[in-house]
Amino acid sequence: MLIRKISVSGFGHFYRLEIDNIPPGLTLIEGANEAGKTTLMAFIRAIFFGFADRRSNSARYEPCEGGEHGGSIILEDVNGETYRVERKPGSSRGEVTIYHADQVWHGDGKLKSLLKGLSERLFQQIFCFGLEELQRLDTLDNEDVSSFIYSVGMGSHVRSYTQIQKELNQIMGDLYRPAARKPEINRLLKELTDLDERIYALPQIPVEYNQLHKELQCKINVIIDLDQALSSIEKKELWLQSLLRASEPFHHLKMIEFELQQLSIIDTFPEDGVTRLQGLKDQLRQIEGQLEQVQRGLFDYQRELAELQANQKLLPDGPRLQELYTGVKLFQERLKESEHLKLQLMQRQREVEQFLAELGPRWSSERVQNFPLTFNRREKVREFATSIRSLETEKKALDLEGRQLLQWKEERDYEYSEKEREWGRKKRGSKNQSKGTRILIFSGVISLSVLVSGAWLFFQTEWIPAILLIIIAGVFWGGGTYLRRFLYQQGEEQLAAALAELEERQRTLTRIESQLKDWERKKQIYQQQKTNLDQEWQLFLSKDQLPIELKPDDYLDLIKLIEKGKEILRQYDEVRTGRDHLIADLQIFSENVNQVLTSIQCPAVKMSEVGLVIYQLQAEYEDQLKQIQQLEQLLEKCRDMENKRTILTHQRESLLSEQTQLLLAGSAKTEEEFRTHSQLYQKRQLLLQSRLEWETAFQMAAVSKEEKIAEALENMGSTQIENDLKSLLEEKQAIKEQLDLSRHQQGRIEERLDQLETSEELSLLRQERESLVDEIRNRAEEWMTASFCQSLLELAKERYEKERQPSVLKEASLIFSELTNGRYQRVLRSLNTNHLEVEKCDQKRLSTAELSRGTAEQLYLAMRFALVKEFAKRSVALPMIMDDILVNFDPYRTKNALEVMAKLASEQQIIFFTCHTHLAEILEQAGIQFNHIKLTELV
Amino acid sequence: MRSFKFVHTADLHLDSPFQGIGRVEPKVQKLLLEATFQAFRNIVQLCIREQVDFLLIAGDLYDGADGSLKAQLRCRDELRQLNDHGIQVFIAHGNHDHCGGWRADLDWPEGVHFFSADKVESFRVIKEGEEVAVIYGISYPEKVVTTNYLSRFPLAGLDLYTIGLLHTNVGSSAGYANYAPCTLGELVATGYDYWALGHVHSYQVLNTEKPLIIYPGTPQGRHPLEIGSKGCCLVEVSSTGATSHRFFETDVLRWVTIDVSIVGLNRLEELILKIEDALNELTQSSEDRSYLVQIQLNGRGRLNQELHRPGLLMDLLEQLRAMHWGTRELLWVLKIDNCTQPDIQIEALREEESLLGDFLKLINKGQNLEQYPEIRAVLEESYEVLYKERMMRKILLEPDLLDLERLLKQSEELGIELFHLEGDSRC
Repeated sequence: MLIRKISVSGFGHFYRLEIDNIPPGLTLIEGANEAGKTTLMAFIRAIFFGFADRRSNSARYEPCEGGEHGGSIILEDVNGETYRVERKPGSSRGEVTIYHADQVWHGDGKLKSLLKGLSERLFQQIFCFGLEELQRLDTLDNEDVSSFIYSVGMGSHVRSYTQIQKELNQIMGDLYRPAARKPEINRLLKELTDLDERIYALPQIPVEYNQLHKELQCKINVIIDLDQALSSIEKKELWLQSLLRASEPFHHLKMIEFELQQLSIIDTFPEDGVTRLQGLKDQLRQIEGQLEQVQRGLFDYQRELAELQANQKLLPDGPRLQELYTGVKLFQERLKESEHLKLQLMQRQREVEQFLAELGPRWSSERVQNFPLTFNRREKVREFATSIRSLETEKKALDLEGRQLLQWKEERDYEYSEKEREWGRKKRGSKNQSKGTRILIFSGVISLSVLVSGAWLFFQTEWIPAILLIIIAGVFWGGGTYLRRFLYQQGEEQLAAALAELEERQRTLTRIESQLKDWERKKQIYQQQKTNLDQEWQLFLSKDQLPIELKPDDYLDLIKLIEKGKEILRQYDEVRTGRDHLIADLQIFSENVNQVLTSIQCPAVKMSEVGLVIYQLQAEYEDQLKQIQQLEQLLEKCRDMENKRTILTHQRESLLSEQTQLLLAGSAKTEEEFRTHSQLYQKRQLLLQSRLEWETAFQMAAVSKEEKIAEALENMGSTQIENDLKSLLEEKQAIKEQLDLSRHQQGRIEERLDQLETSEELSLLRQERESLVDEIRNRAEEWMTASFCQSLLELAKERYEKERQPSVLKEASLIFSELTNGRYQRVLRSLNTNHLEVEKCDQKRLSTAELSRGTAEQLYLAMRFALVKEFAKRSVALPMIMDDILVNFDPYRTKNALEVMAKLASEQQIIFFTCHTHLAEILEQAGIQFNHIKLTELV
Repeated sequence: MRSFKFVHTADLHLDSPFQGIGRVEPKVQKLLLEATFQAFRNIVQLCIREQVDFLLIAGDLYDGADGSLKAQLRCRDELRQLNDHGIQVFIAHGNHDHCGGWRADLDWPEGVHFFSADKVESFRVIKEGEEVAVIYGISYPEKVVTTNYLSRFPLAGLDLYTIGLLHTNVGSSAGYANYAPCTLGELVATGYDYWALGHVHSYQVLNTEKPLIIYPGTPQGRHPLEIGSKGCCLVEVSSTGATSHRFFETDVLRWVTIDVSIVGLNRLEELILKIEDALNELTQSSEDRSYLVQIQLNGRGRLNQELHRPGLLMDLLEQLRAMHWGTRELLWVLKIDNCTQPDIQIEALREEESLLGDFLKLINKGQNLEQYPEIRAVLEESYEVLYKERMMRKILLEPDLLDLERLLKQSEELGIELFHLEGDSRC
C-alpha cells in the first residue's frame, strides 16, 4: 500500500497544499521548525482515522487559512489499484468517502478494510509516530499493541483477540456466573430448585396412597360393626315403639267393649232417618201452601173471564178490511186526481172547439181525424206547386220575349215607316202618311190583341200578367201612334239616303215577324199546359172536398194546421180515457167498501165518505182483535192453574206415603218413637265405629304381633315402655354419632384417594421439570461451547505467543544489532515479567530501563520495524511515517538507522519528516535512493 | 396344537415426562401428558381388535421412581378392558418398574399375571381347554441388575410352544444401561420359540429364525433421539408352530428431525419457504398423528451469518409454531438447530498462520480428543466451574468424548462467527 498523493484543502495553516507523485521507497520531507511537518503527519492520521474529537485534548487543526477542513489521500494497493480517501467535515470526526474507479464507499468500513483493521492507536504507535511516541516504553506494552503483536490483526481478519475474548466473556456471563442470580442458567437452576421443592413438597403420593387404602379398609370394618350394633338397637326400638303405639288403642278397646255390652241392640235404622222425616214434613207443608195459592188464582181468572164481552162482527171481514185499509190512501189520491182530470178535460174541450172554429164550419173533429196526411200526398202537393211555379216562370219569359219582339217590331216598323216616309216624302211625300197610318193600324191591332190576352188573364185571376199585358197593349198603342208620327217626320228626310236602309229594315222586320210567329206558337203550348195542370189540381182538391181555388202552398199550410189539430184531439182523448179509467177504479173500491158496510148492516156511503169510513172500520176491527187475544190469554192461564193443582195434589199424596214408609222402617209407629230409636241406633254405631278404629290402630301398632303385644301390654305400663325407649334412644344416638364420624372419615379418605388418583399435578410438574432441565442443558451447552471457544482461543494465543512471537523478536534483534553495530545481539520478552529485554554481544541481558536513552529508542525503533515487517508479511505493507525520530541518535547510529530505513523502504513506503538538512546529506553520501521534498518550497 | 396370537410390547414408561422438549404451550403439554397413555390404549385396542390370546409386556411399564399413581391406575384400567375381553396379560418388570420400587395397592384383574422377581416363573396359556404355550419370565427385584438372568431360564421342553419374557440388554448395546446382559447366542441356545424382550427403545428383530427374538421398542418415543415410528408387535403362531410377526405403529406424537440445507439460499424468505415445504411434506400423509419436529439447518451458505442474528431463530420458531399444519392436532416445532457454516473456506483459514488459524487447528485436533489429552484437559478444566454447581451435577452428565467433540464443533462455528462478525462494509 502506497500513499501516492496528499491533497490538503484546509488543515491547520495549510490551505490547498498538494504533494503529488509520492514514489514508493523512502521520501524525505524536509522543513524548518513550524513549517508544518507535525501538521502534515496529523493530516495523514486525520484522513485515515478522523479529526480529533472535539472533547479530546488533541488539536483538530481547523483550517486557519481558509478552505474546507480536511482533504484527501490517494492510496495505491499492491495491484496498482488507486483509492482516493477523502475526509470532509461532517460529524465530529468528519465524513470519509472512498472513491475507486466508479465505486464509492461512505463511512469507515471500507477504509478499515483497506487498512486491514488497524486501530488508530496502533497506527499511531507503529506506523505513524514521532519522537514522543517512540520514547514512551508503555506504548509498546499496551494491550492494543500486544494483541496486535500476538494476534489477529496479523491474520486476514479484522477482529481483535481482546474483543473476541470480551464477547465470549459476555456470552458466558449472560449464561452463567458462579453465585450470581441474573444469568440465564443461574436463573433456570433457581427455578429448577424451586420446582424440585414443589415436587418434594407434594404429599408423598405412593406412601400416602397405600396408607390411605389401609385406613380406608379399617374404617369400613368399623362402620360395618357399628352398623350391626345400630340395627339391633333399632329392632329393639321398633318393638318398644310398637308397644307404645299399641298401648292407647289397647285400653280404648277394652272400654268400648264394656259400653257396648250395656247398650240395647238396634241393628238397623234408616240412614239419616230423623232428618229425612223432618224433610218430608217440610216438603208437605210447602206443597199445601202452593195448592192454596193455585186455587185462589184459578178463581180470579174465571171471574175475569166471565166479565170479558167481545164484539166480533167485524172479524169475518177482517182480511177484506185489511186489503181496503191498505188501498185507502191510493183511493184518496186517485179521487183527487179524478177532480184534476175533470178540469183538464174541460180545458182540452175548449181547445178542440177553438181549433174547429179556426178551420171553418165544414170541419168537424171526425173530418180532421180522418184527413189523410200521408207523405205521398204531401209530395204530390209539392209537385203541383213546383209545376205551377215552373209554368209561371215560363210564362214570364214568354211575356218578356213577346214584349221585346213587339217592341222591336214596333221600333223597326216605326223606323221603316219613318224611313219609308222620309224616302216617300223625299220622293213621294204621300206615301209617308200612308206608311205611318199602316204602322198605326198595325200597332193598334197588336195593342188590341195584347189587351184581349190581358183581359183573359184578368178573368183567370192572373192579376199581374193581366195588368202587365194591358200596360203592354197601351204601350203598343202609344208606340204605334208615336212611331207613325215619327215616321212621318223622319222618313221623308232620309228617304233618298236610306232607300237601301229601308230595304234592310224591311228584311229585319220580316225576321222579327217570323220570330213573333214562333213566340205565338210557344204561347199556345204554354196555354195548353196550364189548362191541363189546373184541371189536374182541381180534380185533386175535389177528391178531398176542398175548394178548387186552393193553391198548393195553401194546401201545405192546411196540412200543417190539421197536424196541429190532430195533436189537440189526441190530447183530449188521452185525458178523457184516463179519467174514465180512474172513475171506474174508484167506483169498484167504493162498492167494495159498501159491501163490507152492508155485511155489518150499516148504510152505504158516497164515494167522498169512503176514506173516513175505512179508517173508522179499521180502528174498530183492531179493538175487536185485542179483546179476542185477552180472552185467549185468560183461558190459557186457567188451564195452567188447573194443571198445577193436579201436580201438587199428586206430590202431596206421594210425600204422605213416603212418610208412612219411613216410620215403618224405623220400627216406629209414632214420630216420637222414631226419634228415640234413632238416638239409640246412633250411639251404638258410634261405639262400633270407634271400636273398629282402635282395632285398626292397634293392628297398625302391633304389626301382626297382636297377641305378643297384647300379652306384653297386659304386663307393662306405658311409663315403663317410655323409660326403656328413652335409654335405648340415647344408646342409639351415641352409636350414630360414631358412625357419622367414621363415615365422614371414610369420605375424606376416599376423597383424598380420588384426588390422588386423578391428580395431574405431579405429572405436570415432572413434565415441567423435564422441560426446564432440557432448557438448562441447552443453555449449559451454549455456555460450554463459548467456554471451549474461550479456552481454545486462549490456548491458541499462548501458542501463538510462543511460536509466532520469536519471528518478530528475531527480526527486531537483527535490526537492533544493525542499528547498534552489533553491540546488542538479541531482543527477547521475558515470559515471567512479560517485559522486553536485550542481550548484549557478551550474552549479558539488560532490561529496557538499563539502556541509555538513545539505545532504548533504537530498541523501540527496531521493534517497530520488526512489527511493521511482520504486519506486511501477514497482511499488507502499509506506509510508515516518522517525524524526526533520530534526534537522539549519534551520527553513526543515525546513518545505520537511515540505512535500515532505506532497506525497509524497498519493501514498503517510508515517509520521513525532518528539520535536519544533514540527513539528506547522509543519505546522499551513502548513495541511498530517496525522494527529497522540501516543505518550504511547496508552501 | 391350536394356533394363537399375542401382542408383544415393552418400555411403555406410562406417565413419564418427555425429555428434550423445552418449554411448551399448555396445549402441547396436555398432549404430552396423555401420549404414553394413548399409545398404551392403542395397544389395548389392537389386542381387542385382533382378538389376541394374550399380551406380553417386557418391562418398564411405568417408572416406579416417578411414583406416578396415575400411571398404575390407568394401566390397571386399560388391563381391565383386556380382562373383560378375555385377554390375559403377562408382565415382567424391568429396571424402571422393578419390584423394589413403589407400587400402589391396586386390585389387578385376575387375567393379569406378574412374574416374580425371585425366580423364573412360568405360566401356561390355555386356549379352548388346550395348553398352547408356556411363558417363562422374571422381573427385576431392583433397579440395577447386572447379572445375566438367562442362565436361570430352563431350556425349552419339546412339547409346548415356549416364550421367554425378559428385560435385558442383549450384546451390551451402547446407549442403554447394561442390565441383565446376555448374548444373542445364549438366547438362541435356550431353544425357545419366541423371546419377548424389552429395554431397547427401538424396534429390533435380533433373530428371524427360531427363536424369533424381538425388541418391539417403546410404543411412544419420549426423547429427541427416539425418532420415527414406534409401536408394538403382533405375533401369530400357526397350528404347526410357525411364528410370524407384524409391527403396528402406536405412537401418538412422533419425533421427527427435518434437515434443511441453506446451500444456495440467499434470502431468509427462501429458507422459510423451504422449511414450510418440508413441514408440508411431512403432513401430507393421511394419518392423523401429531408431530414433534426438530429442524436442523445445515450446509454452508450466505445465510449462515444472518441466522446468527440474535433472536432470529426464536422468531422463526414462533412463526412456525403459530402456523396451522393440515388436520393434525399438533405439529410442534421443538427447536431449530443451526448447524450451518459460514460461506468461507475453513480449511484455508485453518492453514493461515494466524491466531484464528491456530485456534482452528486446535479445534481440529479436538475432534480426536483421545490423541490429544492435553486439549481434553483444557476443556475439562473449562467446564469444571459449571459442574461445581450442585444442581447442575444433578441434571447434567459429564460430557463424554462424543459430547465434547460435538461441542467443539459448535465452538468452531462460534469462533469463526466471532472472528468474522464485522465484515467489509458494502457499497
